[in-house]
Amino acid sequence: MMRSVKPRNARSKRAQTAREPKLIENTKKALTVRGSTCSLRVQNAIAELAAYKQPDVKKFQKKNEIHPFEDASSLEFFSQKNDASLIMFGSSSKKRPDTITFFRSFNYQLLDMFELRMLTYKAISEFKKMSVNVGMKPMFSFIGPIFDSHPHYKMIKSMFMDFFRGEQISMLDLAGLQYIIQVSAAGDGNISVYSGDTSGLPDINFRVYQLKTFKSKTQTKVPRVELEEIGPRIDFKLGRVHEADSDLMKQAMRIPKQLQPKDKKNVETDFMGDKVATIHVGKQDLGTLQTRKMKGLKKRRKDDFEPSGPMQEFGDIDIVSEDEDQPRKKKR
Amino acid sequence: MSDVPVANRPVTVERDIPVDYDLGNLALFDSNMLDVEAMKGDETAKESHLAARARDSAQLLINQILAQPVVTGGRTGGDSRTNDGVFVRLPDTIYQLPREKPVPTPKPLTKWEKFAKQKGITKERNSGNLVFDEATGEWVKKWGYKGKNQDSPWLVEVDKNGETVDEGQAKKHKREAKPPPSLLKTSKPTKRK
Repeated sequence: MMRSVKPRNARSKRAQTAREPKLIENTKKALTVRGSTCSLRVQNAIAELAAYKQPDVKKFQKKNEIHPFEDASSLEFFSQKNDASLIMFGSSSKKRPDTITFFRSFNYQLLDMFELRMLTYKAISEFKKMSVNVGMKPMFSFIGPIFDSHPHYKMIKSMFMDFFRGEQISMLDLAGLQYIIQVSAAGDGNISVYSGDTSGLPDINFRVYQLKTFKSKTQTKVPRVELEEIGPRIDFKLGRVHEADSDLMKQAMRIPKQLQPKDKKNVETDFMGDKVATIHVGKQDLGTLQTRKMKGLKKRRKDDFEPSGPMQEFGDIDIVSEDEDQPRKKKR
Repeated sequence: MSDVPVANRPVTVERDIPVDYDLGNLALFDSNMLDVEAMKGDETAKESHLAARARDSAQLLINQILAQPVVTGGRTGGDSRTNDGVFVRLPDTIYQLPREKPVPTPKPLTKWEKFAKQKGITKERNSGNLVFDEATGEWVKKWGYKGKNQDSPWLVEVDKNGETVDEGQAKKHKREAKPPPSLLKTSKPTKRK
């Protein structure tokens, strides 16, 4: 473990506070690491995947003698040293060719990881040249019931979203919607939920498409969307999986009290599922209540006031009819 | 489909099982199965099926995103550098992802803070220059002009009539009794050459 030192100047103090746990966290940073043997195919694939994580990614160039599933401590060390909680680790061996390990840490400790073997790979350069701006948020599409049912695939879904979603924002510039990442898997959700063997599980298809919108004639506002594949196109096969420790996951999933939604006062849902609210209205001052305006009820100046019997008796009725007539006339 | 011009193609998508959205993460979860035949077929069939599904997903997402409240231009609270453009207010995320670091814990109290809390010592806050004068029922300044700290003079000079003598006024009267210095000035005859 690294020792924690007291910062000696303002710059190092700023750097240290940037790393501290926060209520609303920084965007997760990523690292790409190479194993001692790593084929060019894997290196290229990792570089291309990392391109979609820019600018929150750091690429390591040197080889590292690391076997994450045997000892993940060096990846944990990298995670702490670089304040990066996501690591893509590339390796290639006779037994496990073209493998990318996705590693995620919590508090600089291994949370969960899995390895994906690349079956097919088509690089970005093999597609029509397309440009996606750096730092744009992708849209995600997860297709297949297995992503809701199988724990491994749930983890894959969570990991891919964590990896590529980028900065968390509340206001989205529509010009920033540029590409969609689709992760799909065939097979139904009824695959035997847990067995250590992952060989029977369906492949994972990773695709990236660029969006093109066209003004639609059928409806006014919503455009017609067309896509163009920009790559990389990778089919993965799931390899070894390290499930998250349930205690650690529980800690990681904790929502701070300040961010938990406050229960609203006076708003309830009844047994029919309807929203019922109690409204407290302040006391109404009837003295200043605006009532119907009538000439007879008007405050008069003293010199205007000349009491005369018959006028007072019939005055009200006449004036009411006059008032009611006026708006009608306007309508005509 | 491809022979229909783009503008005439539909913008709605039908799904057997309704899809789930997480607009905070711009994500869509579609639990409708992929077409097994297409996936087992050759590459073009597979890719066209995947692309079609992706297009439908993108269309569904775009339809949902555009249904969110739209803000145009001005300071939007989004990217402060770009003040123009059309912004959409995204809802909170639904799909929860694990945190990177634990929830921050409050800093432990220092020895003094602990002691102060025990003794009920609170830091006195500077409440500004105004204080309430209970005698007059008004807010007055603590110091300065018409300040509260200015005591009334303990010794006051009184004239023959028993009225207080205002030193400043007395000086003024004395000045005004004299003719102005401009009138007193005698012009010296200038020597002519």
